[in-house]
Amino acid sequence: MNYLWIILKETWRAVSFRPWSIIGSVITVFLAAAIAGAIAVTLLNSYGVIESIRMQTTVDVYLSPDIDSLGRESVRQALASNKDILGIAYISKDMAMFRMRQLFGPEMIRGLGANPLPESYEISLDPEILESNRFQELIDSIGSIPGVDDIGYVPDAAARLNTLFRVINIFGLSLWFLVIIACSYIIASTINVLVARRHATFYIMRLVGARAIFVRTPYLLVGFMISIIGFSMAVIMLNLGINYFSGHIVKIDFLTTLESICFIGGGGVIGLFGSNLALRKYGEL
Amino acid sequence: MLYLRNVSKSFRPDETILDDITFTIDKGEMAVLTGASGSGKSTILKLIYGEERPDRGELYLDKLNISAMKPSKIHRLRRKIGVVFQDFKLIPERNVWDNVALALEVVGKSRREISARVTELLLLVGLMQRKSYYPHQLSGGESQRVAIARALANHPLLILADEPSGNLDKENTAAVVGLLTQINHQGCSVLMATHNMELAAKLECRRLHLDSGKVTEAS
Repeated sequence: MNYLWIILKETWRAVSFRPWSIIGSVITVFLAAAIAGAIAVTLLNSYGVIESIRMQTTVDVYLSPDIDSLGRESVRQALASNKDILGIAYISKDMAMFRMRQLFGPEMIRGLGANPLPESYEISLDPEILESNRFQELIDSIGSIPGVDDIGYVPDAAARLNTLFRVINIFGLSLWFLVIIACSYIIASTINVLVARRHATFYIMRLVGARAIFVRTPYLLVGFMISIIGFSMAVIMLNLGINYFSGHIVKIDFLTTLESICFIGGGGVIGLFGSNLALRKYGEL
Repeated sequence: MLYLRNVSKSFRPDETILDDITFTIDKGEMAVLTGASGSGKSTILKLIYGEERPDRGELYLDKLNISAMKPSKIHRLRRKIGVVFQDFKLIPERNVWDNVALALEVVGKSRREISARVTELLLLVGLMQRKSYYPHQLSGGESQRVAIARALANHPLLILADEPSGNLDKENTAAVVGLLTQINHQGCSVLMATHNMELAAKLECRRLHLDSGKVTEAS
């Protein structure tokens, strides 16, 4: 208990020795963390949009014009037996016409005369298959089911979604990596300044029998504290900003409580890493 | 208690600072190590408190093999040794009380133990009235007495004093040397390094002389 109290006292000494350096560091870490947080929110929202697009990707299976109810049921059963097909919705000729009217307006439809649209099944697929090379095989197998006249799908939609997903991932991770380096560097520089000014003091502490950990811990705590404060401020500011935009402009999802805790905790780890980076320079300090 | 056997040390290939030196300091013994400036007295002390490592030879303090000690374990050695320097090495942002308390804080003593021991030490060195002074408010003699109090904090087996009177006038030198002698009479071994032959001659203790990298017993 006494040891902890002394380490906390030493941490306070370290902070009060150059308070403006600490404040400057907190502000810089806050800005970097705000950028990281904005990236995280953007990525999470992008993932959500892409995932919903992926989930909504459907394939239209058009039935032969002369198919009867038995043939229609036979096609449905053949589709239902495929494990890559998650959902099957029957679209009658009337429903197809209704959708077309919704899409193009009654004026455009009026000239068509009798309903020329075929009956169809609208099938939703397992998103995994959109990213695999089994997609074309599936389309071919559906096309060979007796009673199927044609299949409607956008052939490269899956590939394009996949590429977009990867690009966003790489972009986000690269920015995150840069932010981690920037934060570590900022904290390491601050700790370096603090330690350099008190190097003689540390020498004396080691001379009277202090363990290296006793001398280092207050500075590890300072780095941790700078990060935790900076990242917490960023979470609060982003939450306020996103609440404002969500209420006035566009709906944006913010990090969940657990994600926010992980974000701040991750910041703390970066703080410890940055401090350790600075202290390593002093060897057996 | 302190045992150096065939210790050699050089910082450059063409210059040997310590050449195969061997000596011991017994428990409760006081010895003065003389030699010209730059002869290697401070290097011997640094080897003893683990700041330098010997190129060859062995050093033991109370069964602790100093020469084989890992840097991460050096605190174990330093808790058995008190070191006093010419430039005092006090922490400027700590007052007299806190400078002495530091040596006890780092070993995890309780506040009550720290308070009792610091009071005892400040009374011993006659600085109780100066306990809240900062190093820049003290004279050289007072600063050295604070350094001695700090060195004594953990009941060391050995006090190493590296030119303790180097920055002091005659009066303060006498006071500091008197204090070290008093500490020795209480059972603590003392090894004092000085280039001041006049001071060494006045001391009634064992004398070691370092010259050309060799330590000899001086009469």
